[in-house]
Amino acid sequence: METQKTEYEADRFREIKTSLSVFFSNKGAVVGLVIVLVYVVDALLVQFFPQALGLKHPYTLVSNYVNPVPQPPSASYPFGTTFPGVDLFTSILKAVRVDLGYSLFVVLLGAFIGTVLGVISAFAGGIVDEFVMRITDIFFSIPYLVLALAIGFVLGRTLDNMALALAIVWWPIYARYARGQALSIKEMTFVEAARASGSGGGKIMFRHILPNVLPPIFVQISLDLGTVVLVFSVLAFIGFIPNANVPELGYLASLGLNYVATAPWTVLFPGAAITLFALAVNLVGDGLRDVLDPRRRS
Amino acid sequence: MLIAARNLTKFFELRGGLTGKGAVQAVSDVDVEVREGEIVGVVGESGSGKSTLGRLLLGLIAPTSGEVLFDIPEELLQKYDEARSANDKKTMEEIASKYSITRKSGRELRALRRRMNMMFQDPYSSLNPRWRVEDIIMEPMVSTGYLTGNEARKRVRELLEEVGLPREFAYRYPHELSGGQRQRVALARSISTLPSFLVLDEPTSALDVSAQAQILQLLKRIRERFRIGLLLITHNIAVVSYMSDRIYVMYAGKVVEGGPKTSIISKPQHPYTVALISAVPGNSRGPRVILRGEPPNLVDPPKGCHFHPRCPMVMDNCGWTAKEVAEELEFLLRGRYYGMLKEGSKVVPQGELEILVEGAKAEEVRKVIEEEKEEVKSLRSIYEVREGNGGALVKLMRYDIPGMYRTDEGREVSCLIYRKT
Amino acid sequence: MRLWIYIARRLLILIPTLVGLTFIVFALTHAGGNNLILAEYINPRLSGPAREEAVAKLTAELHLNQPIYVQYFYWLAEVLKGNWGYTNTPIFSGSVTQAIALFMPNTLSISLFAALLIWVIGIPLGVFSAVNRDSVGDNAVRVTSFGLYSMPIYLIAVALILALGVYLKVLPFAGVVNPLLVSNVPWYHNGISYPTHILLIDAIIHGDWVVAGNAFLHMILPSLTLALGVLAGVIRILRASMLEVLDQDYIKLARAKGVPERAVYNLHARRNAILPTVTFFGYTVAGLLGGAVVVEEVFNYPGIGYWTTQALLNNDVGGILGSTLVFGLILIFTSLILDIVYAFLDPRIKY
Ligand SMILES: Nc1ncnc2c1ncn2[C@@H]1O[C@H](COP(=O)(O)OP(=O)(O)O)[C@@H](O)[C@H]1O
Ligand code: SF4
Ligand SMILES: [Mg+2]
Repeated sequence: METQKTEYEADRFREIKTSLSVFFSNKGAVVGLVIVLVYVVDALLVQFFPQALGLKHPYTLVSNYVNPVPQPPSASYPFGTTFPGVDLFTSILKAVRVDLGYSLFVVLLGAFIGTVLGVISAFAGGIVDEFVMRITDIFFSIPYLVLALAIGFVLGRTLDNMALALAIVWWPIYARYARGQALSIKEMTFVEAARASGSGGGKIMFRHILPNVLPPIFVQISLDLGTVVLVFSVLAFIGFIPNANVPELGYLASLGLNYVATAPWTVLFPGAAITLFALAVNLVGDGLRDVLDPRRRS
Repeated sequence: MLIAARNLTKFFELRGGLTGKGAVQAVSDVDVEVREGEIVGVVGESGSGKSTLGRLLLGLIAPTSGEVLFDIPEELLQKYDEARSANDKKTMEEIASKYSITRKSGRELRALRRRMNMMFQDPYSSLNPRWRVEDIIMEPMVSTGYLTGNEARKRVRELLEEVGLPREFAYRYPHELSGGQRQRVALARSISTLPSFLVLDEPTSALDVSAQAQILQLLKRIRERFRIGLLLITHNIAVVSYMSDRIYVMYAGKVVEGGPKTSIISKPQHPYTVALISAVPGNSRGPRVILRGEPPNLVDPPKGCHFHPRCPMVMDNCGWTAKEVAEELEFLLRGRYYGMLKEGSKVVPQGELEILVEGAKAEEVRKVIEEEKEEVKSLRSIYEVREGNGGALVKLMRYDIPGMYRTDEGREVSCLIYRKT
Repeated sequence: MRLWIYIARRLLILIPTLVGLTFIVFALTHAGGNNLILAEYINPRLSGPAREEAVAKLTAELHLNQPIYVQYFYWLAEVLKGNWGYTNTPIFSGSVTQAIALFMPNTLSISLFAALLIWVIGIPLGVFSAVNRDSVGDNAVRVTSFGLYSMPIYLIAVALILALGVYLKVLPFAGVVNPLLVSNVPWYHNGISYPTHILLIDAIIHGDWVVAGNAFLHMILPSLTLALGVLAGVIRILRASMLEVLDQDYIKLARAKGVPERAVYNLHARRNAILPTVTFFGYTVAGLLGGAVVVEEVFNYPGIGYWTTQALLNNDVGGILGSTLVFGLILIFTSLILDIVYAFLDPRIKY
């Protein structure tokens, strides 16, 4: 038994090694991964050891009404300050946690709902399929930013609701994508073999089809995360959350909007922070797509 | 009788359009039987409906009509067949309601899964790439409640040995195995619940020759050890003649001939079987028959005998219709007899059995038919040419539809040549 | 024949989509509770019994006391009659349909201008990039579009404002026109021009070339921002589909037969690569409309998007759902038209 296990583990190991070498042969993906890791570490530190970064108020912005006008970057304020006297550098450090966390929430919730509905839709076919697809049509027929805005507005203008609203407009993408994948997997012989072996609909859906749909969904998630981070910050930027004191990159950028002509750093630094993250995530997503591409593997 | 199909028919509806576009008549009005422990071969070209037949027998797809009687006592089957000849619907219904798997509920059918299974052609797509061999082989046992947990795992090891694979393979994933090894895994899965009936759909077509021979031998051994009734689907006559006890030959959704292997191989009766067997390399019996044309479109299959457009022995009543004859007539009149058809005139089928040759004289058309009859066989179905309204009116005889005719011991053929008058 | 069946089916799908859109808008309107709806109608200074009386009267008038599914039909009937409710924001107060008539022209003009820019910049770049695959130029285009793809649209806007507006001072970046130029113009009151409400066109109609020129300058930055926001996606898709077409057999055949490279690209490859881009244009329209919300906000450009954000900031249901409905209708009908155009262009469609 022991030797069998180790041999199996050796096989697994070989498999993982190929995946890693495909991923690491893509320089952009590696750079992206490093950047993403920096953001993740920052988010985790803010969450669990804010002292390590020297943050006294890790979850709120600290205003300074004595000197509210934006100050240019200097030794004490490496990125300068924004209205009302908020230090940009530490605020960006804090904000990464919020943007990363909420975007992950949006993508994962959207992907979960969408994948389950998409697989069911493909598997059940007929009226169920038609119904789910028409619903996704309806969602696609409204610009997602506008729809998210409307839903979030009705839910109440808070950060949590903004994320929830985005997840609600985001699942149809996954439903369509998962349905397409599931439809092609449904036609594979092993599904018929499972039926011939007496497996029921639930088992076929969740044990046969779903595991084969998930890997491409994960790549989609990583590609999407970049977009969602952007949309999230855009919603905050246009003033979705009223008078928030939360460190969020889009909100942070909007604080300096009135001073942009004289104090461009107020928008450029938070904007650059979010761009860098989206860019890194997109690079990683491209790399992951290569890993899943059978042509690249062999 | 292990399993017997009666009048089994499957039409696949084509979707799309507002009105629908007809149906693919994949299997039409087929009777087949498999006894306990018997290997029955099904041969035919690709697209003749073999796989569909296999899936129907296992209840994996619902038939358009007909019955699949499973595990039915001989007397009852005989009674069913007698009732069928006498058109006694009530008795047929009574028997079918008890034995036909098409009448079973989803749950009853799932219970039956322990007793029947299927093995597929493509060793690459028939195993879930994300499952380990162990889980793959266990699936029928677990799903049908045959064995569970550790007992099932133990049995997986035994089965692996049974199909000639090392026990360690239990931990592998399909992509780590060769084609032949995968087919062994697929076989182990299909026999894991010791079923009494197995459909093998081209189990070796995707393998190289040596792997093919090994799998076939393995199948023979398994059949002997477990007395499983096998339905072996293949387009390869050599495989069928090596493996089976009895054979069915399919063409365009119909069984055209059936009977004991040796007798069919040595003395094929249906013209299609004759052509099929003559085409086997190294065949010494008789000249090679090369079939013209292509297998028919199953959305609108030929009338009468499905084989008639390609049959070397075709007769006047085999199924010729106005459309086919008109086409050939027009071909002649625009080719060899150029000039007989006036500019702008056409050869128009009218209904199923009448053709109008526009602007032509009956006398001339009659002469052409007489001259070409020998060569162009469809013209033999013409029994009268008259002057008609605006041209020559050609009339065809009514065609016959061949039934299944018993010939020698245990043989049956669906060809009008063998109709007893 | 098939084509007509396809179009008929496509029209049939239109019905559930439209019903679904109205469902969503209705549900959202009512999910916030009756008070939010009533707030559009009742004078906020009213209080006490007077207020209660007004509430009771309006509740009955608007059928808010009926079961919800009955309310839907009353609501739908009103919407079909053109009564989309009221909006109350600092930039406009009045009926929603009036607001749309007022703001839509501005949104349409910068969106169309942006679409034009996308076409003019995107197609040549996408084709260039595919044809010169893996060259320095291709890599430059890819890196740039990858970067643009990762930028939030407000950052693009601010970067353009800083570069062209603040430092180079060549383009204005706030509002539709320099207010000094229109302070004494008879066809312009309260930030609204007549008769088309598109300042550029109205100025041309009245022969005021100075205002027209200034209005045009004000359009450039918002449109350019919008275009850049959507462009990256267009280039990526166009390049990918172009590469796919270039790999196909008949292109190789044309090359083998000695058809000059340029003719290969222009006659064969480009025409076929544009087909997927037609469908992709649907994405473009959605992107433009969504982007307009942000761009109009940043540039204080009084279009539907600006109105929407104003509505959001002032808790105005009428504005938010009015724009949702109108954006939905635009998108639904654009994609209908695109699908039909696509069906005519693509001989392979066999539905
Ligand atoms: N699920 C299906 N839907 C529509 N047509 C089908 C389906 N399965 C098989 N067919 C059609 O039925 C005919 C017979 O197919 P099949 O049984 O696979 O033949 P064989 O196994 O002999 O090659 C073919 O014309 C095939 O296209
Ligand atoms: S009935 Fe017999 S002879 Fe006639 S076409 Fe069919 S196979 Fe040939
Ligand atoms: Mg087959």
